[in-house]
Amino acid sequence: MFQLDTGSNGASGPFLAWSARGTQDGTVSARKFFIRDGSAKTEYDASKGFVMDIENMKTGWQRSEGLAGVAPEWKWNQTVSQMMPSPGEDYKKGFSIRCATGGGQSATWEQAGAAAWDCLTDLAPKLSQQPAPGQLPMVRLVDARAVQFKRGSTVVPVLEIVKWVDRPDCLKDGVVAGIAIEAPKPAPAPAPAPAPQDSVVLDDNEF
Amino acid sequence: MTNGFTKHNIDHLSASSINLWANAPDVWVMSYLYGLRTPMGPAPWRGICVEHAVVETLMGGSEKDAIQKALDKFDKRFLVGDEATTKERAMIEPMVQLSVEQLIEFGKPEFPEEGGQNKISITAKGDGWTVPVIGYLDLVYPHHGVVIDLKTTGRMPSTMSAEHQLQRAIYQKAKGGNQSVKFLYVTPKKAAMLEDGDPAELLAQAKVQITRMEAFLRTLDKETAKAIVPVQPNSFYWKGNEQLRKEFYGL
Repeated sequence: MFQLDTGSNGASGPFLAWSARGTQDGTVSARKFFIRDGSAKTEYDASKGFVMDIENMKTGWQRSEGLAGVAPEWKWNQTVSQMMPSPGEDYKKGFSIRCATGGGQSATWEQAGAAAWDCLTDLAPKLSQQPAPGQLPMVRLVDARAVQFKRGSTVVPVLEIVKWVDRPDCLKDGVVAGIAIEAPKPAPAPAPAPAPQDSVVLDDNEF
Repeated sequence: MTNGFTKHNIDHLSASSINLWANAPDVWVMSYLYGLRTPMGPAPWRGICVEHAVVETLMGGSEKDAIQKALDKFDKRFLVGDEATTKERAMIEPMVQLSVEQLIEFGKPEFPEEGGQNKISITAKGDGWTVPVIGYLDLVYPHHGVVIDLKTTGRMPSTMSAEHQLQRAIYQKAKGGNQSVKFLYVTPKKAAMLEDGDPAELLAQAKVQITRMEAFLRTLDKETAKAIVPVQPNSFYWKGNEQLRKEFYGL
């Protein structure tokens, strides 16, 4: 059974998230996905694959106070194809995507920050190759990529599309779920010098 | 003796290939010897979307519909918009409108009866080798004796870049003296027709580059080329493809 976990945008839990460094409470290891259902956190094996509802995803900016029990504030873009200017310095780019996580269950991957955002944008070119409307990508975690910034670093999950599938039943209730419908070789000998130009006879369309 | 182009199954060159060879041989080796092309970013894709919409409008279609198709085409490519793609996307509509405004006086451009773009080909010829240099013309107006290449850009140049000048030189050589080749530069706010550079001089310079390319190819197998070509990690040509560079060159 789903436990209703309503954020500021009304999205419903449980929530899927990536942890680059592990959670502070120690329940989730670094470089793992986990599912947060109420206050419970469980590591989720994303290498087995999950289905992303890319037809109803949202992107936007998130600001979080980082306080337990305080929902982050989201400002959603009108459309995923356009990113509004940043509302402020303390906002991070993020997204909300309902996912089928296996066994008829679903969870909302709603996360901001470089690791999650880069993961989505790395995957985006392949997502745009959707073979037909209604087909959704089943993705799986195949790697984790360390990224160094001028200040700080993170670890980006690397997903690959396993296959495109019909929309699973658990993703057919978008409205109810609160998701908007809508080694070098030896050096060779030096190359010979070019022949003098006047040794070549040229036609009109040659040079 | 097999020439360098034949050895590496390179059956033609283009302005972009020659420019890339001269400006970023590391990217060139990866792209043309290993077939690993860097994905097209939002700016060049914006240019393609604008061009399609301009042609559709000039051929008698609705400008509004053409712009919408261009936006849809852009969105399909960049499913998840970020600041960079959003900035490029916003340029599409004004660029189409300005381009059409500039070109409408020429009437309908002509295209091959079988469809597609007007292809041109000239031949670079050296000692023991020849290689076609091909290109595709954007807008051909035989009655006006002019060929126009549409260039969309965020900032209006005062002079055509050396890369564009070579492209124009190749087109001009192919069209001979019957048609002049001009480049229409369009920003979201301005448009200007430019035709810089002396084609003969530019093609002579290009031939030196092509000659060196042939010698490079004749001398090296692709593994050796990859192993010894200098890698410039800070090159503009790697922007957005840093991961690909690291995977290919380990740098």
